[in-house]
Amino acid sequence: MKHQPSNLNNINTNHLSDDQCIIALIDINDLGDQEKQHVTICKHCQSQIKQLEMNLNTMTQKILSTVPPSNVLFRMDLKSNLTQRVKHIFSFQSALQLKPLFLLITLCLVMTTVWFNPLYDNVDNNTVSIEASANELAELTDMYYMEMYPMPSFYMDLTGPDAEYFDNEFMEYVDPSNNDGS
Amino acid sequence: MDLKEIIPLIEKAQSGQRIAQNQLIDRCAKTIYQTVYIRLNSKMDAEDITQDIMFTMIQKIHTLKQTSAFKSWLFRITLNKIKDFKRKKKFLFFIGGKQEIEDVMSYNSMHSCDDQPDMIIHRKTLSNEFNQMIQCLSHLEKEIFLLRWVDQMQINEIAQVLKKNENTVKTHLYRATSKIRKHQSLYHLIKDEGI
Repeated sequence: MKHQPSNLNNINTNHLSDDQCIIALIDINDLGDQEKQHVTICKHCQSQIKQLEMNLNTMTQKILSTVPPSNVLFRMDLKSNLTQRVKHIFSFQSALQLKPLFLLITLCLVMTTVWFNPLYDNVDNNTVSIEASANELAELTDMYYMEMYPMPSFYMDLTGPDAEYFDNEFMEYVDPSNNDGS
Repeated sequence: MDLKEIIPLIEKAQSGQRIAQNQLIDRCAKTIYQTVYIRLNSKMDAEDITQDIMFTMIQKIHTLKQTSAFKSWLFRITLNKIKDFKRKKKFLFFIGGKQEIEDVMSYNSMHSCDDQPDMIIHRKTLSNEFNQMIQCLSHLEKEIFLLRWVDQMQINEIAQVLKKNENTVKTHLYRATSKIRKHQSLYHLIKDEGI
């Protein structure tokens, strides 16, 4: 595999391994002194490193070519619509696709809220019966007052001396059979 | 994104000049869009996040002390935004319609108005091969590999972006490159002639 570099008497004659090529590509100063000297002279190792670099650059170009061009003009005064997409989760369509786990958590939360609700704790049988009897008493009181003090009933004499104060329209309304208004 | 050309624009943008800010956005947007797209594989998401990054960049540019560190600063914003987005996406997958979101993402990743169907398929195949190839890397190795070989950043810039020691970056990059070199998909990708 190894090609021996020519005119190398005092320095390392072995070519760089694959891993050393990567190290040299990342930062040549991380190689040992002998390897560094070797790279400066050996064209084979230089070409190996260059080949690796070219491969990575080709890969980069290929990947960048997959990026579709954007027609959006980015400007300072434009805000992204990320918030709109977050709002989308509350839409009806998304509600249909809710996950069972999320539903379960929601149900647990609702049950916990009801269970630990302070209003729920205060309502006992005594409170209910007291409230019921109070309402009953209020209703009976109303009925009692209605009987004791009935609404006054009075009669108006439409043919008497005050009849002149009523116009024809009113008289027709009160007594439609009397068309002459008398 | 040539830093020497950008530095005067950065200084003007820091002083609040609107034209310089928009010029700076024009210079950086394409690189950032590519960076985001390669990590998310969705055109719609990449456009949204790029817009968000550009907005944050201009909002926070006055906090940048060294203009020479602009590129690493911008990439740090980018990676943080991508991380945030992935977290949000996990939340959406958890409570929302997974299938619908995946369909939309898949469609948008392939679709572009001018594309022929065979071009779309070729693009999708390449993208799948690449994703399959980098699956063998750990999260940090993947990030360093992408920053070095796809985004063409230097070791010291990567160290700044990820807030890691340069030697740590080199070690992870060495491991990642070594794994990728042994991966068969790399040679498929390189030999692929395209359409």
